[in-house]
Amino acid sequence: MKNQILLFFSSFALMASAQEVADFENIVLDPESFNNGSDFSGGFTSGEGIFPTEFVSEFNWSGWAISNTTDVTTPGFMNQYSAITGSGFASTNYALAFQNYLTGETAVTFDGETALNGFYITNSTYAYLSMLNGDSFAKKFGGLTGNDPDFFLLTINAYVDGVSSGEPIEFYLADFTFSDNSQDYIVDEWTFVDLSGFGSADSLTFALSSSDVGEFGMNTPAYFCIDNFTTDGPLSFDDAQKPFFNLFPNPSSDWIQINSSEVPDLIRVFDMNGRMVLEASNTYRLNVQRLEVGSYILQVTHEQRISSRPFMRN
Amino acid sequence: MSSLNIRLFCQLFLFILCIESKAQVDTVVSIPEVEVIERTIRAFTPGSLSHVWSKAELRKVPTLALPELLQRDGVYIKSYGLGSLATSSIRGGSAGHTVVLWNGLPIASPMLGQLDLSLLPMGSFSRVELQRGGGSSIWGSGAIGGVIGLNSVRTFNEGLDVNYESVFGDFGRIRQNLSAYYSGEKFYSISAFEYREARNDFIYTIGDDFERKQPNAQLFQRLFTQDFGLKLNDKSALTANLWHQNSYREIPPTNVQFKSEAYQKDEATRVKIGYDYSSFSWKIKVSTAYFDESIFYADPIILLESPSSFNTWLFDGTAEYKLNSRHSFLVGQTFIRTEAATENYRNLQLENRYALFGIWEYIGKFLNFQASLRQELVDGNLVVPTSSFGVEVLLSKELSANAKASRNYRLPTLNDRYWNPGGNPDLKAESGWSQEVSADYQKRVRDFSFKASQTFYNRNIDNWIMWNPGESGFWSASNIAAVWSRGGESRLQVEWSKSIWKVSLEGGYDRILSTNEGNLDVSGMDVGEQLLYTPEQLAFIGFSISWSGLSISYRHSYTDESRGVNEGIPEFNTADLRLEVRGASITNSSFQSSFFLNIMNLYSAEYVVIDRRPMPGINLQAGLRINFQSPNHKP
Repeated sequence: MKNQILLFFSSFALMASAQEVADFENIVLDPESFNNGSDFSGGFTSGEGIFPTEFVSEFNWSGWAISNTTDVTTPGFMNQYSAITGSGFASTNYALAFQNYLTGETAVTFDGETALNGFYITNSTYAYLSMLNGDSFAKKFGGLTGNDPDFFLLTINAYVDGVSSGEPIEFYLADFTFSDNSQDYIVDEWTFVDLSGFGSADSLTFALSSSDVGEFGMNTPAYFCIDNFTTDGPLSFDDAQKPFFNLFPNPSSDWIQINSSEVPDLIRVFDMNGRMVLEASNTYRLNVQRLEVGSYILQVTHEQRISSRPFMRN
Repeated sequence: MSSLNIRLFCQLFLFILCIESKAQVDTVVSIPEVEVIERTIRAFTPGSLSHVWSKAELRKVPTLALPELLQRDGVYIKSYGLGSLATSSIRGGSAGHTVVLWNGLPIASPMLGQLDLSLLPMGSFSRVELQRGGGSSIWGSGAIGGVIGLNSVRTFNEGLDVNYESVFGDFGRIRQNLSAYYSGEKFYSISAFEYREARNDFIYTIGDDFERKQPNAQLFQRLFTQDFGLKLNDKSALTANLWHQNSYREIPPTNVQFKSEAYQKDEATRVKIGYDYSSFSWKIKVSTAYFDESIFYADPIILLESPSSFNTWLFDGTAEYKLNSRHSFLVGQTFIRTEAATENYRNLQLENRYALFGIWEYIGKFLNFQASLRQELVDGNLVVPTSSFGVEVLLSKELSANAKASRNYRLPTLNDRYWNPGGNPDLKAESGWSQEVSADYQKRVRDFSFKASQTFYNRNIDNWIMWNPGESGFWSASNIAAVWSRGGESRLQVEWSKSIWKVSLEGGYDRILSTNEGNLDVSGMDVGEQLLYTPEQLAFIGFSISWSGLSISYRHSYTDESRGVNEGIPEFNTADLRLEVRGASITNSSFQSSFFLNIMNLYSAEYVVIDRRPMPGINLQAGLRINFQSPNHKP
């Protein structure tokens, strides 16, 4: 299913080496605040990455939030938007992911196949302190004896046109599986994750898993934080691969207007699970009334060019 | 109190009582404790398995709270640990599927749809009833698994009864109860005060040898009840009941949690005024009540404070007409108005429930039956009508056969409907049919008495309300499940008594299958899978022997394995041993004292009922009861 989400990204042959950094500083925030997509914009763009968010209410969202909160001591859900480092990577802002319960993944997409470099990662304060001490739902990692072989693992997959770009990269946000307990750790600093092994991709998925799992899923809070997501630029990045259309209004509850110099040959709408939910051809306007409220990606095809933009149905 | 202190306490009182018992046991005249309970057809349901603890029996079964009493009849108690939240599961139902009545009125929280049984001390109730099976057509929403009745049953002209009970136990458990009862020709009054405290700091083991003393588990509770009765004339009386209690309880950490500072404060005031009229043909009961309750939950570590409160007005009235010696009819109505507030509701929530019900009872020489019908409106919307039919056939002097079919329902709680996030105002009531058949055999031969019963039941509930992630991945309430419960309950009791000797043996076995039948896309709810925290088998066996003022009893319980949210719950066996010595301390024949010692979890089994919530190993309780009675009618 995840593969389908990538259908709307075309592949490219060669890469230019213009390095781009998604440092999220382009998102304007008040001090000690966050943006969790409550403006129904459907996500954020920073560097070359598109970081989608599905926001329904303050208690009902998943995907990415941009935050600059600095609380590294308060455990629990009330402090869900903080990174345990207390800041971004040598910066103020950082991105925080909250994994959707059902999909079990968080995605990042690019506007075309892009050469990957890497990013910095750390735990959220909520997840870190939960693993450190346990809470009423989740266990203290290692158990009270320190001997339980617990782990909190992030698995990253890369895709081009829905085809995997290689073996997944695994990163342990906490690892208590060592026979020597002194080696057990929970990540509390910004740590670089090298994605160059993937080469290039037009999308990434991030899936958290934990040793602390109950009948209703993972007990460990499903959060992690990233910053300075670096890409080495799109392959053959020229005007032909830039989005050749705009859309408005966004968010919309009834119609989306495609602003393009020519009438699109084909318009497709994908939900965040990669399912195509709407299709139209030879039109500037798209009726989105029958879509569920949520985040979507609209893909436009015209004369063998494919481009996409996120939008929100409200 | 440490184990050592308890042992010293026990030795001291055993020494005292043994001496006094030897000297005066022959002079003790037991005061017969016979209860005369006016029978109403609402409280009697043919075809249902029920158990009643009278005032006399309750005094013989010293318990700290209601869960321990119910467990003696094989009720499965979901306990989160010593002194922590405890709810009942009867016939595979959830906590919200048992109605708890206080003098005939439901007292479960309308926000949660359940009641924490661990906060119901037993010292203030003179009669406890447990009826298994559906009873919604008589008692309304939630009476799907069973009904628990807590009653302050008093009659006029009984005299004076003052009772003091003091219980000390391991882990700092203290319970003090003082009640004073005066019953004259036209007036009675009973005042009861109870105080409980406990550290609950038992030690449990993690892994092979890591021991932890349970932190943050203290409990403090105060309870006061006052009952009045005023006889207006030979046919009518006024009654008034007050119940006020407050408690402070710490929420201990799980066995995989480093620490907890969470706590909860509960406060409840319940007031009821009733009028009873009784003639040969008519029995009229009218009562009105007001409940005001609040819960303050706080977890300072995560900066969480969650206050909630509700108040409820109730009106309940029944008119029972006895047409002749065979047929009786009852019509009744109940009105409940609730206001509830919490920060997680968008507004103050109001709910009005009105129910009209009727019962027809036939008492024959060999056959009794009862049919009932109920219709309830919630905020003007009709709930599914419910009915029941129970029949009892007396096959012989010793043997009776029973059958009952009923349609039952449970309304969504206010939290199910309005909690933000996830509440769903459009929820429908859970409803479905239940059936049961049973046979009872009782025989007495010379010094032996023999009782046996066997019950089989079946229950299907649709629109089962569950909180689940749903299509969006966010937890919310919905009517998604269908649950099929079926099983059997066996009970056996043999008793031999002669002179001052009494020996009894009892046992019970419950088979419980309670499975999800809805095709859900929810983890942990596969079709045909047993519900969480629902063991398929429960069993108990008890043995007691008493001689004059001394009695020893042993009780062994088995609980089958079950599924927990995080891990499987292994099967476990627990055993309790109890010793009681009764004596008289002064020559006044109405003055009695008794001392008891309970050894709980005799074999120190390591077990949990809820995963990650350990239970204590072997522990002691020792208590002293002093009772003074001066009945108006000497035996």
